[in-house]
Amino acid sequence: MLLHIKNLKINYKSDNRPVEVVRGIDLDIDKGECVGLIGESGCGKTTAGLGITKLIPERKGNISAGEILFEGRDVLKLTSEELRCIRGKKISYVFQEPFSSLNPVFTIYEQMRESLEEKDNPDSRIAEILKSVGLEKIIDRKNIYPHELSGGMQQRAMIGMAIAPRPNLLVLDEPTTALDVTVQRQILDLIMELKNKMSLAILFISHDLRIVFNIADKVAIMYAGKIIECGPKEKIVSSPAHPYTIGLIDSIPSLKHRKKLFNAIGGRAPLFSELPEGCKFYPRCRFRIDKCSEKEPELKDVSGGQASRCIRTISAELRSATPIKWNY
Amino acid sequence: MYQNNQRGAALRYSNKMELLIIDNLRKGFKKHKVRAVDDVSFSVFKGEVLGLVGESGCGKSTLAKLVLRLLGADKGSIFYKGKDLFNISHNDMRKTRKDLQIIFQDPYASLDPRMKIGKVIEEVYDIYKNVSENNRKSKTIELLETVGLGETYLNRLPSELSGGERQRVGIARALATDPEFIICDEPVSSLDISVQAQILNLLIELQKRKNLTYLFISHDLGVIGSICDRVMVMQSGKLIESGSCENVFKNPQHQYTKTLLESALLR
Amino acid sequence: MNKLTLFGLGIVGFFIIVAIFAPVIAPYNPGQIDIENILTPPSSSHIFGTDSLGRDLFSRMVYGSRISLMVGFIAVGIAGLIGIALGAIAGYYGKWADTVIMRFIDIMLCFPTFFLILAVIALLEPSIINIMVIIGVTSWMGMARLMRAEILSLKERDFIYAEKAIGASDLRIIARHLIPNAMAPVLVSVTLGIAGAILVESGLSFLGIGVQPPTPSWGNILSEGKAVMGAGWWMMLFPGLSIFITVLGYNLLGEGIREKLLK
Repeated sequence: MLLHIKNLKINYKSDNRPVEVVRGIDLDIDKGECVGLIGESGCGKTTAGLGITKLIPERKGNISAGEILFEGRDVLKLTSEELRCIRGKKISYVFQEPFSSLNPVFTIYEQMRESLEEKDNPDSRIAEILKSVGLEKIIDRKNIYPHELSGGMQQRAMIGMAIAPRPNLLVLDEPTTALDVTVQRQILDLIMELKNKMSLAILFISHDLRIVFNIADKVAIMYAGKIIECGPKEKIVSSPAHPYTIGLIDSIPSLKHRKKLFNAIGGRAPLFSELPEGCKFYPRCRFRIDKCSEKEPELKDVSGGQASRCIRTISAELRSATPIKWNY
Repeated sequence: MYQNNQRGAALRYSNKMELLIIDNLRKGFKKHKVRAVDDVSFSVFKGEVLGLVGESGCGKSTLAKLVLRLLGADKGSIFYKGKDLFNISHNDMRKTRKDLQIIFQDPYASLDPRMKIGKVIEEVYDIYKNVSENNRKSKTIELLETVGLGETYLNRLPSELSGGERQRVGIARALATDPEFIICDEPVSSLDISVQAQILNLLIELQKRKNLTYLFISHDLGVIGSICDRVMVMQSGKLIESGSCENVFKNPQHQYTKTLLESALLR
Repeated sequence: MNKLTLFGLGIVGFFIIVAIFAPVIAPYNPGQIDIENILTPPSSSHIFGTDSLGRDLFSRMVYGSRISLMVGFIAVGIAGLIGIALGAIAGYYGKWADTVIMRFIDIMLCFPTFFLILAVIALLEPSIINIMVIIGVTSWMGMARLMRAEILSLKERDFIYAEKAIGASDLRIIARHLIPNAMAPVLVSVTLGIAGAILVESGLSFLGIGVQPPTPSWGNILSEGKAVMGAGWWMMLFPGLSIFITVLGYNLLGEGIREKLLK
């Protein structure tokens, strides 16, 4: 096991009392495996990703509990010196906006050199990296600045910098959300290629199920700070077990839809400061029963590595028999 | 010549229900020296949902603003119900504005941050005086309910609302003039997928119930496919392909359309 | 709100209250001459002492705060009206309106303001109204520029397009949507501008071409004090200190608003 996260809890400071935005998540990532973390805005997925290397700024929040074992060592117990050897080296990040992640006053070459390992010859290594991320064109252009590249090329450069120190884990937080459809596809292809070539482990964080289903081996879905369903991608796609997952999958727009209404999820996601009792999805759930509001369900195995945080078994019959309230 | 155009447009409206006829519309931006919209012509038929798909910077949002005369065009004409929008009196344009509305992409930028939700809607009644002073509040509440919000939202500020809720307010504002034609400019692109489905449901419902006509702009082929009857593909300011959704998606003719379809993560 | 801002707000509030309740606070009539008590140092009966005509300095200071603050507020009010209106027009309409207004601002900025004021006052009579107007019409340029810059970015926002789409008139868009949303930086400028106007008025009065005696203003009390500097230190200390503290108060408040609103 490359990364083993157990019961990770992260608090954010707020005006009166701290708010728990990651409320205990467990996540395992193996070498060469791509795990997709799906969730809608404000569910805590980005915070969870940052938490892996304690990247939460102290004035904003802190990790209050849990265990993060990376290559067998607990990240939370490392000194800041040891942490620096992991962060950005063994575990690299790529974020959504390539342009704001790049420093506009330094050339791509200079920025890339920063992320190299000491043993590498800068010129040959950078050429190698640029080639592997599809930027052969700029190998000989050492004085090229970020603004001279398109959004897609900038993101390629970011990915290049992330893989330069030969990391074992790449955390990608919405890496293609700011890009056009055609460019998005190219970047996804690039990520897949790198993953296979370098046997990289990837944590792919996104709100877009379509992308995650396209790229991930395993999928975890977050809602209100907890993982509510996880398992192999094929299982989740073909037989989602949690009502929220079902709703999300039913919400994916498709060409076949032809002006039929979506089986949408009603209501809105709760604020962390006013989470309901019991199952956090209960007020929006069309399969709810009274017992759901009593206590928050545990993540329990469904079958074949799939687990769901729901006390009911949502069969196909139940799905078609339960009316959808058009809560638009 | 001009008279003919005008009469032709009127006939096309009465015979074929071509609600909106866009003829050779062009708009360039001096700064960029490119034509954002390059001699675009198309018609929108009454009661249809016409999709417009293209990537960022292809000129689709500029086109939307041109059609509603929110931006001035360099060349071309727009006929609405046979009336030439570039050649009508100020007063007629004011009346016509009511019929043509727009919903924007970014729900954070499309509402005045200082204006309470109730006021956003009431302002429309204030401008058109189409609802008497006493009925304004109840009409506003009714409209908010139509879009899935309620009376409790009257005194809230946009900053207190989620993205989806703001988008509903944007839809309510567009509906307040009781329009016939609405341009939906990427209305769901910045929303989470579950909220996106809710808003699409709302737009589909409204379209059916009120027999509205939409020009629906999106970069997402899945979204286009799930709501549109016809679709047009735009690339660098030009319309390169159009047809019924089924035809275009099954049998794309243009290479760019094919690339778009291949890239889209469709199911 | 941080402590410095609160401190600034406290100073500003304190002097406004003093100005409003001047008749209640002042123990003597500010114009009442008392030949027997000329230039008495601060004492229990005259806490700030008396001036060269035996008038109670504390009462004159209290009434003087009315003049100083009034000049500050009204001058900046005039500047604000001109600046906001011209800035909004330049920003919203662009094209030739923008060119004309911006070049006019450039021309206005070429004049050394204080000497322009001196010249105008030399031609006109130095009444309070003239001083307020002249300070107002020579200090609006910064606000106009701020307003224009804000409006330039705001008018491209979707909610302005939405207003146009629902048929809102230009006047409504500018007055109800653009200006209120562009006010934050202007408000900072207004607060700092009040401090500036108070300083200019004091300067003019000090030079003897501002508010004319016997009407008391901080500037002309200071000016009178200059003549008797050796005999009555209190005549310069108290008005000088008041001007200093008030200007400091407005500047702190302005900085505070800037931090709060423009983050």
